[in-house]
Amino acid sequence: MYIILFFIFLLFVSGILSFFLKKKLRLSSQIGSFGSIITISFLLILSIFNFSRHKDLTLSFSWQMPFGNFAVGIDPLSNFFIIITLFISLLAAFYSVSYMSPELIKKKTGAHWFLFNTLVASMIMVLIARNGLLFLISWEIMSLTPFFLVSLDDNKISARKAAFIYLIAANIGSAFLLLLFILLGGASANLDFSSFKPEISSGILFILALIGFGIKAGFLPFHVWLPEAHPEAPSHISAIMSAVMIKMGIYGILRIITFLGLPQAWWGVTLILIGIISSVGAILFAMAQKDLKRLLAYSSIENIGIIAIGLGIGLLGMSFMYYSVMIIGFLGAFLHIINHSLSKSLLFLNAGAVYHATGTRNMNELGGIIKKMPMTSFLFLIGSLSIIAVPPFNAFISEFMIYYASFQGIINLPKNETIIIIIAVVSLALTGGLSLACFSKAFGITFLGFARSDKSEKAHDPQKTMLYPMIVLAILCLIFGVAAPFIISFPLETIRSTFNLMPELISEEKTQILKPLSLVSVVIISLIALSFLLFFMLKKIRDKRQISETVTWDCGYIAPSATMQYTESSFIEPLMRLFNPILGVKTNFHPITDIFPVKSSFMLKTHDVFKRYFYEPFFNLFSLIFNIFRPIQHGRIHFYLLYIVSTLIILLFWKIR
Amino acid sequence: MSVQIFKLFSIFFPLILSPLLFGVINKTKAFFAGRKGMSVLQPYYDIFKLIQKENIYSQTTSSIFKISPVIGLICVYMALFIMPFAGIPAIFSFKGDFILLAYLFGLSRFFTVVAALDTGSSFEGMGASREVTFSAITESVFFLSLIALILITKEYSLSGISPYSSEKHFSIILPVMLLVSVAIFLISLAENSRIPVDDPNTHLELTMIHEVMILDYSSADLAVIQYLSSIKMWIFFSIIANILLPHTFYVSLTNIFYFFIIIFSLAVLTGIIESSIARLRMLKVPQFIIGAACLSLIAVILAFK
Repeated sequence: MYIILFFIFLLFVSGILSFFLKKKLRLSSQIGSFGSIITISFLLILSIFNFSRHKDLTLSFSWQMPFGNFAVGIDPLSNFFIIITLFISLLAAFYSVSYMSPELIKKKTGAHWFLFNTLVASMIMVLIARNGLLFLISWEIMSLTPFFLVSLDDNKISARKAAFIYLIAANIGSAFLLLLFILLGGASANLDFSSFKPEISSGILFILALIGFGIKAGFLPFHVWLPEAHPEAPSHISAIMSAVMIKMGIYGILRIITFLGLPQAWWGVTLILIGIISSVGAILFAMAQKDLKRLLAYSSIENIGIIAIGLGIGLLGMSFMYYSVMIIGFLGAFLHIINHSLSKSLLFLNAGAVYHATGTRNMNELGGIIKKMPMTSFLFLIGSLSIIAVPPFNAFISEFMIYYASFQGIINLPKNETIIIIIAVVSLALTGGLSLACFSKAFGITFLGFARSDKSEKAHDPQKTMLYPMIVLAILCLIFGVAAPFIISFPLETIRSTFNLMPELISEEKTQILKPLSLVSVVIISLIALSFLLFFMLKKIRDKRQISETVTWDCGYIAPSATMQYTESSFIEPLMRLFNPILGVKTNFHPITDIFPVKSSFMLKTHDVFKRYFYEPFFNLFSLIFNIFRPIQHGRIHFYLLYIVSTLIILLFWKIR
Repeated sequence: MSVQIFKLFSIFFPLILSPLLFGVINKTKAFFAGRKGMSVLQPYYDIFKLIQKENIYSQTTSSIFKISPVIGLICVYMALFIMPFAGIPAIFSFKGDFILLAYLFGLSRFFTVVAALDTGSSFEGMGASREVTFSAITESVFFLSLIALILITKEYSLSGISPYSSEKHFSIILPVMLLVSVAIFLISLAENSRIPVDDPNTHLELTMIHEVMILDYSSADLAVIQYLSSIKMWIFFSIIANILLPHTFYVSLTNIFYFFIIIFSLAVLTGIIESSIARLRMLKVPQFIIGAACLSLIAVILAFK
C-alpha cells in the first residue's frame, strides 16, 4: 500500500516539476512524459499483481483533518477500475508524446503534463480512498483538472464555453455528493467508509448517489456538459474522460450500493429506466452530429446507458435474491465497462489523428481519406464495429450478456418487473440498430467516397507513437471478443468480493454462461477464418481475370462532382424525420419563388432538447435573479474596501450589543 | 440416420436449395401476370453466368468494397449453424443464440452500407440511408416477437422456443404462435427487400433500397451477393417454419416434408403479395414495420396471461 501511495506521489511530483520547468520546453516535456509513463506502468504492474493475489490492502492513520482517518484501501472493485484507468492513461500518455509535442503546443507543455499527471493521480486516489473527506477532495481535484484541460486551447471561444459548462455541472454533482456523505456519516461525524451506518432510509441515499454520480457518468437528463466538454479537450484527454473518468460515476454508484444493504426493487427499475432513456436518447443525438468528436461523446452517453441497464438488471436480480439474473447482469455491465473503455478510447485517439492530419472535425469537409490514411481508417473501422457491438468484437460479448440476463429476468422475475425488462430489451435492440446507422455514417462519410474539401489532401497516417497505442487497443478489442470465456473470471471475481457472494454461486453461474460463450467464440473464430479464406479465394479468381476500372455508376450524367455525394445530414435524414418529435430538428429553408434563379439556402440544426428547453431557461432564470446584485459588483476597489470596513463596523456593533 | 450426422448434413439443404426460393417467387409472379415465366432454376443460371463475367470496379472504391460481399456471405453461412432444421436442434444450439443471429445480420448490414458509401455515389448513399433507417426498427420488432415466445415457453434459444413445448393453455399458444409467425413474415419482407418495402425488380435507382446499394458490383461479387440474399431469405422463412412445426429430437421424415412445404409456400405467398400490391411510399414504410410491431406486442400481451 505504501508503495502504491509513493508512486501516486511520484506521478504528482513529476507533473509539478514539469510545470515549473516550463521555460525549458524539451526538458519539461521529457520529465512529464517519462514521469507519467514510468510511474503508471509500475502502478499497473502492482495492481495486476495485487489482483491475482486475492488480498485486500488497507491502510489507515490519523491526519490533521476532521471526520476520521486518512484511510486508503484496495479491494477487487477498486482494483478493477484502477487497472482500466491506468491502462488507458498509459496509452494516452504514449499518444500525447507526439500529439502534444512541445513544438506544437509551445508554452503549454508544462501545464499539460502537470494537469495530465494530476488527473491520473487523482483518479487513482478516488478509487483507493476509504474516507469520505479524502474521497471528496480527490473527487474535486479529479473534477477540476479537466476544466483546465478542456480550456487548454483557451483562445477558442467554444473551448472556454465548454469548460465553463463543465465546471458548473461538476460542482452541482459535488454538492449532491457532499450531502450524500454527510447523511452516510450520520450523527457520529465519522466519514471513514468502514464506520458508515446509514440512519435514514437508504432509498434517499440511493437517489442522491444516482444524481451526484450520475452527473459525472453523464446519465441522460444530467448529460449536457458531456457533449460540450469532451470534444473540446485534446483527443487523448477526451479518450481518458470518455473511457475512464465517466466510469468513476459508475464506480461511485457501485461503492455506495455496497453500503446500503439489500437493494429494493425500485432501485433496479430506476436504473434500468435511466439506462433506457440514456441509451436511446443519446444515440439519437449522436446521429444528428456532424462533428466527429461530438458524435463520439454522445455515443459515450449511450454506452453508459447500456451499462446502467446491465447494473439495473443485476440490482433487480439482487433484490429478488435471484442470483443468476444478478450475477450475469452485473457481469454484462462490468464487461461493458472494460469494452467501452477500449473501443471508445480507440475511436477518440483515431478522431484525434484525423484532426491532426486534416485540421477539421466536421465530417462534411472530410471523405475519401481511407486512401491517404489507410491504417487510421482500418483502426477506425475496428473501433466502429466494436462499438456497435457486432461479432467478432468485444462489445458484442457484453451486450450478449446483458440480453442473456434480461431473458432470464423475463422468465423468472415477477410480472411488474418483467415489463420494464421487456422494454429494456426492445430499446437495447433499437439502440443497436441506431448505433449501426450512426457509426456507418461516421465511418462512411469521414473515410470513404470522394474528398469533400481540399482539407484532406495533405492527410497522412500519424507517427508511430500515436499509431501504436491505437493498434494495441484494436488488438485488445478483438481479443476481448474472441477469447471471452477466458476473460470473464476477472469481472466475476470483482462481483464476488463486491457483493460478498459465495464462491460456489459464482462458479455455478460461470459454468452456466460458459457454454453459450464458448459456442459464440467458436462461431466468431470460424467467421474470421472463413472470411479470410473466401476473400483470398475470390482474390485468386480475380487475379486470373481481367479487371477493369471505371467511374462509379453515374446514371449517364457526365460531370458528377464530390459535392453530389450523400452528406452526413442527408444520410441520416430519414431517421431524423422519424424521430423528429424527440429530436426537435429545426429547419431553415428559403426556397426559390421567383421565376429567375436567385440565392437560396437550407439549414438544419439539431439542438439538445434538454439543454434548450430545460437547462437554458433554468439558468437564465438564475442569472436574472442574480443580475439584481450586479450594481454592487462594479470592479472599483476602493468601494470594495468600503464594503469590508462597513461590514466590520456592523459586526463590531452586533458583538457589542 | 443418427441425429448428429443429419445435423451436419442439414447445412447443405439451404446452401443448395435457397436460390430456388427466388425461382419460385418469380414463377408465381409470372403465373399471376399470365406469363409462362422463366424456369425456377433461373437464379442458379444467373449465379453461374455472373461468376464467369469480367470484374469492373469503380476507381473511388477501396478494399472495403471488395471485402463486403465476403463478410456478408460468411455471416449468413455461420447463421445457418445456429438455425434449427425442421424442428431438429441446430448444430450450435445455446441459450440466447438468436442474439448472435440478429447481430450477425447486423455485421453483414454494416458492411453492405459502408460498401455503398465507399462508391461515393449519391444513389447508393440514398439506398444505404434507407437501409439503416428501416433495419433499425425491424431489429427491435424481431426481438419483441421472440419475447412473446420466450414468455410462453420459458426458453430462450432458437431450438427451444417452439410453442409446442409450452405448458400454457392451447387457447393462448395458438394465437401467440400465429401472431408471431405473421409478424416475423412481415419483418422478413422488409429485411429481404421485397414488396411492399422494396422492389427487387425496379430499374429506377431513386426508388430502390437494397438493389441500389449493390449497383456498382459486378461478376463474382454480385453472384455472392445474390446467393447470400437467397440464404438470408431461407433463414427467415425457416424461423417461421420452426415456430409452426413441433420440435423433435429425432429425424422425422414427415416433419422435414412439412418444413419444405412451409418454406416454399411462404415463397409462393411472397410472390402473391408482390403480384397483388404495389410498393409503399418510402414515408409509409415505417408504418408497415410498426404494424408488425403491434402484432408482436399483442402476442406479448397474450403471452403474459
